[in-house]
Amino acid sequence: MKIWTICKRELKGYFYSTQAYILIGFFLLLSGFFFVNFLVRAQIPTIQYIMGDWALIFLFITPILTMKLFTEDRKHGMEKMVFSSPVSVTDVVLGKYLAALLVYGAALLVTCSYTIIVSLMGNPDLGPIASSYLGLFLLGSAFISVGVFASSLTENQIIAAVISFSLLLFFWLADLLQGIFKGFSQDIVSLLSVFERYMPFQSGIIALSGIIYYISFTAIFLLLTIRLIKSRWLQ
Amino acid sequence: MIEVQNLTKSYGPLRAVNGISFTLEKGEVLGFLGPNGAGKSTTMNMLTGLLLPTEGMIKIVGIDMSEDPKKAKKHLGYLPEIPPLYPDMTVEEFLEFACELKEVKKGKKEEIQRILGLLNIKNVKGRLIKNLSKGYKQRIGIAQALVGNPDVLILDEPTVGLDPKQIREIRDVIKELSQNHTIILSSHILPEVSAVCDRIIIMNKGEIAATDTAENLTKSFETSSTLQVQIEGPIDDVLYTVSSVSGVTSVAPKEQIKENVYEYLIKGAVDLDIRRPLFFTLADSKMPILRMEQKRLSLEDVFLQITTIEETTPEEMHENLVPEEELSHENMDDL
Repeated sequence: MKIWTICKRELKGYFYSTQAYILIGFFLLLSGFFFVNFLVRAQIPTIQYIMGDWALIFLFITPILTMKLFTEDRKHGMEKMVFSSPVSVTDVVLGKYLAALLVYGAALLVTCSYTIIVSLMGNPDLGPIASSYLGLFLLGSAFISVGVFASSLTENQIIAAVISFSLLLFFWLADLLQGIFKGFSQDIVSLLSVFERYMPFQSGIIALSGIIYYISFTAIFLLLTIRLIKSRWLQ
Repeated sequence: MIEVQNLTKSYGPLRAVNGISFTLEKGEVLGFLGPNGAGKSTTMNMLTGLLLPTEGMIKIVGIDMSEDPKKAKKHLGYLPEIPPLYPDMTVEEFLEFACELKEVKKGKKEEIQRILGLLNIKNVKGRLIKNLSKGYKQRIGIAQALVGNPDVLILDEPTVGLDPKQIREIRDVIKELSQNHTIILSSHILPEVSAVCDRIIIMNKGEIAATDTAENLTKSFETSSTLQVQIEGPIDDVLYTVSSVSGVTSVAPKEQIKENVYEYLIKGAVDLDIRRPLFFTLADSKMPILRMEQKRLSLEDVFLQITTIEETTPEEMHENLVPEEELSHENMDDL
């Protein structure tokens, strides 16, 4: 298993450049703005209501976070070195996915300071906050799997970013289309709606269906990536 | 060490590599020559397990690549045409990453030191790869192929982008490595191939056009021996006298050196040494030889002969023109 080897290398790529710092910084800036704005207006010492908005910020960040995972390797000829080594494609894909997920996790970890601040101010209900964190983490994992897939499609970082942004936007819009359709088509739309599954987490419910949905969503996109890379190399 | 049988790679109706077979013993160095699009890189990609062959078998150290690719790849070191590098890492970090990929578990530090020393790049081990010159990058590319001391090394144009001094160094490294490794290398630089390789395969249009030692290849393509001779004397008399020598098949003046001295190209039958009769005949006729040189076919001549003879057959050219182009596109997509 070389997942950790690949993951470590990608983490170095993130943190040796300014990329991870800028992305985490951007995330904190906007989430901090939502946080302050909510506190001042609502005067309620809790944060679970604004955490849903963070998902939207992350929709913009994911394409940039994941765009170079595979494109960079192709540009520098690393794909040939990696795949002529005794490494399986699965390990490579999982390693890269894990690296992006860890950067995302690091950003979420810093936002725990908001929870500490509201705990100092009042007496927030920690349950819904914890379940919201779990939901956000799963949602982020689904987003990142889409980004990983997009980055394996092309050699160009910008194109990869545009593809993953379009896909994520499509899933977001599917959420808005919910009310329009009825019957079978509504089931289809609901299947695509990544955001809807987050709602129970926000109200403090750890929904098993949601967990399974996000995990399968992630698995499908990672499997697609593995298939795609295998078909490109081992054809 | 390496056994290749009937290796074929098809892209639709087009055969990029068409049924090639060869075997390599331990310590042998094999050179791949061929014009662009001949199927060299495709063959190398299949040997390294990057591409799955349409047909045929590859065995590395007795392990079938299609049956157990992971195990077979452990015995391989590969330097692709573009050296694979992570520009944001230092040389040492990059080699450490290569060690982990190649499953070098014990003595990672010593292994890195050994390779740094071998390629003479100890002085840059702490520097970021992106700040290094092309020559160093190429050497780091070779360094990653050497990690884990694999039995088989596959080097795609290992000396591209190096200066003459570095080329000599890398050549020496390859020669040194050939004592314990089996090496396949491809190159456009023909003297390099003849200097380093025990055996040469010339590929053309996906097939092996010729395979032998450099020496035998040049010998088999010499249909006549050519002498380049400077002779003093009136040109007509010289031409008459030379053509009367037994064994001489043709003689032609090449250029005037100074007054009454010309340089001639004299061809004789291939298995006959015409130098002695030529010398005595001309001496008897009082036409002194000022300079005499035997011209040999270089590997370059052989290469051009093999690859151009086949290309200029008119029907063949017509047939192959379109697929050739498609092939290059396919290859580009692959990369």
